Amino acid sequence: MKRNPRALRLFAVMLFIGLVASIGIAPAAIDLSTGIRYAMPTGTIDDCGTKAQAALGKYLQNVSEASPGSHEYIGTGPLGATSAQALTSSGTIHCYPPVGGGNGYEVTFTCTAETPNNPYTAKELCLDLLHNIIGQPETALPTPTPEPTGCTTANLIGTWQSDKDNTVLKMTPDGSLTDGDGVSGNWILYNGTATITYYGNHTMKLSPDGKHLSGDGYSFTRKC
Amino acid sequence: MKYRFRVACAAAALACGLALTNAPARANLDTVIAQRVVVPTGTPAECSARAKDALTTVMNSAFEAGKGSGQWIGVTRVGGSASAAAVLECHPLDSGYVASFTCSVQVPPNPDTASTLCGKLTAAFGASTATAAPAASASPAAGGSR
Repeated sequence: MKRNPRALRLFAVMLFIGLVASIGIAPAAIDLSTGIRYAMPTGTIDDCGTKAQAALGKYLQNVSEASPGSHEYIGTGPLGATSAQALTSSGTIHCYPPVGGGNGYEVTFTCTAETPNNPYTAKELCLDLLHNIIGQPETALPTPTPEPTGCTTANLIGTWQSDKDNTVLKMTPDGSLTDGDGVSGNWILYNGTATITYYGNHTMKLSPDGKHLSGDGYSFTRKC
Repeated sequence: MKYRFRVACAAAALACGLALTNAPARANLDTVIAQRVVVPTGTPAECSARAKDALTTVMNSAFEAGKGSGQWIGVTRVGGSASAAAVLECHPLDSGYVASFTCSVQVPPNPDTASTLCGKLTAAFGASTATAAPAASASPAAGGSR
């Protein structure tokens, strides 16, 4: 096939534009809500602590008091997150004595959610935390979509073991990959042809059973 | 025919470029509650002024969640997206106030952790002139970071 230098130049320029444009629109963002400050006319600050931990425990994990006796509680989420990278939300509840003394307590909330990676917003989380504490009806929060598993020709998600050495690549739904040393890259699959960006770009073929990936001197088998 | 080929090349390249990086960046959301600061003598208005100044100094952004709420929010943006946020909360005591600090940071792109950000805010708030409450005391009590 005859090469067309102008077409190649155009390809390169547009590829660069695409990459730059993507960098501008891709970053995830923090969504923050301070919820509602609520004054409870009865109960003690210890009651507030008990309720705060229960509320956080319903929607988040790793719930703890910031320090003993602080009456400030924190949890991270969503429920079921199995790694630090999967933590995309958090909630804090602060319990205060009532202004001017007397019975009751005041409770405040701060919620954060990483958008679009978290399945619900910070405001939704804070509202449910408040409703849980004051006994109002709560709205079920969406749970994270489980990662697809198994061998398929629809994607490259999963763990790939090199057939030639001990390299292991973990490919995730967001199109990224990471090896055992933390070196990252990207993957794209189109019509059975994969473009793997990992120490350069490599074109590979996915087998019809979705289990083997080979080409450009590489060969991997998916664990499934 | 020649132009059709070029257009096809351009479209393919643009699609490749977008697909390569279009997935939302995966970042670790780091959140802490920093040590609260107790000021035995002072007004809520003074606390609000200090909170606003601290957020403006460190994050170049400060607004109150609701007028008179005493909850001050700062946001740092990277490439137009909020990548760090902090809440400084003022709560009145008998003759003073307590200020609490909550920080959330995406790592990456931020070089600072949530603890570091909250540390900067505490310093900017003027913790040296205030009294940090002892740990494990009755309310109001010292906070901690995790």
